[in-house]
Amino acid sequence: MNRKIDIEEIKLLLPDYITGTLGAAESDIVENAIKQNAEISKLFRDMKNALDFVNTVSFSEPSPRYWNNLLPRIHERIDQKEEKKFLKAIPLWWKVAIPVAAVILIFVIYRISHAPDEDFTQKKTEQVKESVSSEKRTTQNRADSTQIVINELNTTEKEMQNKEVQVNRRRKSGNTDEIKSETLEDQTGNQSSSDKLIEEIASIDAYDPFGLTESETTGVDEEMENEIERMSPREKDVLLEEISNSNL
Amino acid sequence: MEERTDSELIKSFKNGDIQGFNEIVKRYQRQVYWVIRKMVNSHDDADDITQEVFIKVHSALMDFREESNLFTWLYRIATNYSINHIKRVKVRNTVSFEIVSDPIESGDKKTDEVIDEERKRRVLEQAIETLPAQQRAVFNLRYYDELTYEQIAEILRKSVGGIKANYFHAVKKLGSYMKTRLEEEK
Repeated sequence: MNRKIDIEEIKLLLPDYITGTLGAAESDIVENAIKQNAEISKLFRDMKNALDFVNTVSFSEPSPRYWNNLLPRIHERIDQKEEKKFLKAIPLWWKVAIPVAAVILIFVIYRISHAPDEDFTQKKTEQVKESVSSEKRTTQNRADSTQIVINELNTTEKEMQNKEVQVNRRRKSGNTDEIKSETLEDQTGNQSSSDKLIEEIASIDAYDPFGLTESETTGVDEEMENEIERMSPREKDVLLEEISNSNL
Repeated sequence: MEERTDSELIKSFKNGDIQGFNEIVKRYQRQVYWVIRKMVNSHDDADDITQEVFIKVHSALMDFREESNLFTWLYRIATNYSINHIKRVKVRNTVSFEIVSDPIESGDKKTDEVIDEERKRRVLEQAIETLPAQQRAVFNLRYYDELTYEQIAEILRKSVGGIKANYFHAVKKLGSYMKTRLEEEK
């Protein structure tokens, strides 16, 4: 057996020899080695001094309160850890999607709570539509009436022009009696047709020729009516001409 | 009432009974604390690491297959966490006084003895801090906890021969340090 190896093995037994945990046979081997080997002897002395010193040192014991509080503190940290784990487990897109969904939901609830009454809105819309339609009809009627008047005016004008031509012709031919009677008739006719026109014009509201205002009965006011009556036939003709040219 | 075995406590916890875990903590809290305390030489650090060890136990106990006994498993976690802590923290040149939030239990000692004890503790802490983390763990488990080399080998997952060598070198270094320190004090 190699002596060196034995010495190295004996060295490893020294701490247990010092603390008294070696068996009897091994203890004898170490004892002999200490007596015979200076290196082992020196090592033994240093190690024994160290372990003797360690044996004299005591550590301050924590109080019973420390041991009683340890378990609750452990549970507290476990709970904190599990909470962190839960938050970490949520995927990133969820952490974005949840707040966004919350904002959208709040917005929708707000809109629903502040939305106008649908029935009311619908009724109002129908009323407006009806009123617009009736206004359109009224306007159309007025427009049609006006067109009729204009057509009559044009017709009357043409008739008057024809009559004038006839009168001129007859004047040229020298038939004065016929001219007078015709003139008178013409005047009467013109006058009657003029009166009709006045009535027609009177029925048209000068301020609202297409009947856009609510009242349908006003038409030409009294003052204008009086003024028209005071006009001479020639003045009335001029007025008619002006009305027809204005495309009423 | 008969005390439940470690296996029964583990089984109880796996069935959803938190009392199983609570009993384990109460049963092993002192041993775990002291293993750590003698490694890190600080009550505050030991307190923090002890909590971390049991938090780890809580999260891993469901998957614990009892291939080793609970005691060995707890010691392994405590020692590994302590070794990791030592490696993270730089070796301190001076060791500060131990500040224990609660007073020392035995309050009838004379002042000189108290001072002397603190001085010795300080010297020992300084001596322990000269040891590498592995040797420190082996020394504490063998000398203070009186575990066998086989148990220590299982805890640290090393060979028995390696553990014996670690223990020898740890005690040798302590011897050299004490000798130098005593010569300085003379």
